[in-house]
Amino acid sequence: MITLTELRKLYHQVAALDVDTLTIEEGQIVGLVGNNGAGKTTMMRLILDIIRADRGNVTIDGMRVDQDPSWKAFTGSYLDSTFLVDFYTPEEFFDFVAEAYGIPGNELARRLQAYETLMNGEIMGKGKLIHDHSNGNRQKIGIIGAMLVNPKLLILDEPFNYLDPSSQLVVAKLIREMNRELGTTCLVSSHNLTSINDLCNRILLLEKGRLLMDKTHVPGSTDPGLEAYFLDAVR
Amino acid sequence: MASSISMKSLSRLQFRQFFRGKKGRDMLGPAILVVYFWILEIVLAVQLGEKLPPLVGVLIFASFLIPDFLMKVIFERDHTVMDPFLKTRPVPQSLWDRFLTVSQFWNPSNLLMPAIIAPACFLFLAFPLSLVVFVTLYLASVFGGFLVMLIKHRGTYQSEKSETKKAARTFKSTTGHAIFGLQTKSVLRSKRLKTAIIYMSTLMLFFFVINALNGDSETVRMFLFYFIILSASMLTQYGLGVEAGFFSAIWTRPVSISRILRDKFKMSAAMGGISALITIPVCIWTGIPVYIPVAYALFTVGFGSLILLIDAYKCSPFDLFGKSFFNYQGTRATFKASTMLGIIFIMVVALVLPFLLSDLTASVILGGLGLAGIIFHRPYFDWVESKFLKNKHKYIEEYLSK
Repeated sequence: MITLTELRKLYHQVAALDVDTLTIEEGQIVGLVGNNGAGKTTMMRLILDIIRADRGNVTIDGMRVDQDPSWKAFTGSYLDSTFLVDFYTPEEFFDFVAEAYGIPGNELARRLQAYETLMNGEIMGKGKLIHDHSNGNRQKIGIIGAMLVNPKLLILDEPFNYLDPSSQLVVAKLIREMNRELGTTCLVSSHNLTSINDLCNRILLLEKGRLLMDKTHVPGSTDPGLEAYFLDAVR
Repeated sequence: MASSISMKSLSRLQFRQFFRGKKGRDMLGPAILVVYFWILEIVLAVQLGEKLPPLVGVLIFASFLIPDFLMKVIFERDHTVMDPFLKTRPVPQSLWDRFLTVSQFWNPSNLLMPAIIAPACFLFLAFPLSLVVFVTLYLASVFGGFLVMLIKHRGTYQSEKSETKKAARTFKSTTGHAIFGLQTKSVLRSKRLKTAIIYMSTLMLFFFVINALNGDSETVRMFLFYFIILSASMLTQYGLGVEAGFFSAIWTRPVSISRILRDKFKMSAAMGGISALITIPVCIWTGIPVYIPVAYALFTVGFGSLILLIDAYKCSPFDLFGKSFFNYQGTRATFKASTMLGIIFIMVVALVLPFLLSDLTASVILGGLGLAGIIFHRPYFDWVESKFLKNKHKYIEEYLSK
């Protein structure tokens, strides 16, 4: 599904990402971990063609993302607040997403029902601009905006940030269900090792832009190697 | 309160935040505006050929203080409350108050009017008097800035109360839908954009009506055109500045840049059309041919918008909700040099043609140019999009870095 080939991104002559090859297969839930500055967000931005690679390329379904924008039609993503239209209300934002993907109004309403637990009665029908919502609610709106298009590929950067424990569990459940029911390939970054261990069937560890570890993983289990790495990093 | 922070530290912080948020080209637009006025003043001085009588000169220059003060009242925000990163540190209130007062001397909004009228002062008045008038005007503008600061001050917790109130406000989706709503709602929900449109348009409409009743035809035509172009170009002049603030929301979804540009064009058409309609009763009443506002509207929308959007992607993100003290005017977006040149070019074409030709011929040409633009706007915006795509990463990285 996603292939990174000799991908390199430099910032001021320092490699923010330097990956020889990496292939993410269809249907995988891939967890991206690493300390600050490891290159997780840079990798996601390169996959989404937001920044230019200094070398190499990214393909989704065999098409280079920087040359063919057809990946946008089946990709849902949320990395940060620039993915939100903050002078819209959540309803208007979801309408915007629906129009962009050609989702009819009744279908949109039906799909939004699946996110009612996550919204917890705090998001829809309030008439509040996204700008005026709390960080947690903004995070939820961004995640729902990415998921409601029923994407073939879902990319989420730190989706558990700002969320209360209950919402973190709901988001993990929604990702798992989407993967199971629609076969969605998911790429999720997080500093929360427990969430990554519970959710992912493959874990990538980045350090200073390089891919240090690439392991298949049994969701729900813990990875001693991974925990040892992070413990060593602070010693 | 024990503190080692000084006026110098606060000033350095202010200057660094102001200049580091801007690039050379951001400053070029205001510079062109100032140079434009300087050229006008020099042309006027050459035409007049002599100095003004001292009393008349002083009165004329003193009258500039009124719009200068009004502009500050309209556009300045309450920035007397420290930003959280200062408020949570041991900065004595007395030091902050002193800094607020002293910083009025280099507040850009207090420097603009003196900068614009500087050559006129020296060209129209005898030397010693011109120096006195210029320095007095500068000090009066600084004093005006200080007064506005007092007027806008709502107390430390008042501003927070108003934030809470703002957060509790509710909105209904009545204007524009989904993707097109990006244009309508960005205007209606941004106090800065909305205020600018209302005040500036009202001012131009007022001058148009006053001159239509008893002015000469050139002045009437000028204000008629200013009124129409002001509202029609209010959003297009920022290019993709509004969208740059949430560019990932567009870029990672199947929404083309040409679609956004076409929406901007439609919004400009709606604004220009409404403005023209407003002027028509006055035109009929005062005997101005109705085809003139129609031609101006067509020209502004069909030709002017296309010129202003030619490099729409070269823009700074427009922070619709910005409000920090150091983030002057509550927005990072500034006029681009190319936008300023574009506006001047459009004005010159629209105002010079009727001088050279008859009103009817000029209107036919202006309307024709506008119609051609309306007909070809779709391929035109596809072409603008292709130019953006050639260097897309450069522009997107710039939006994200600001």
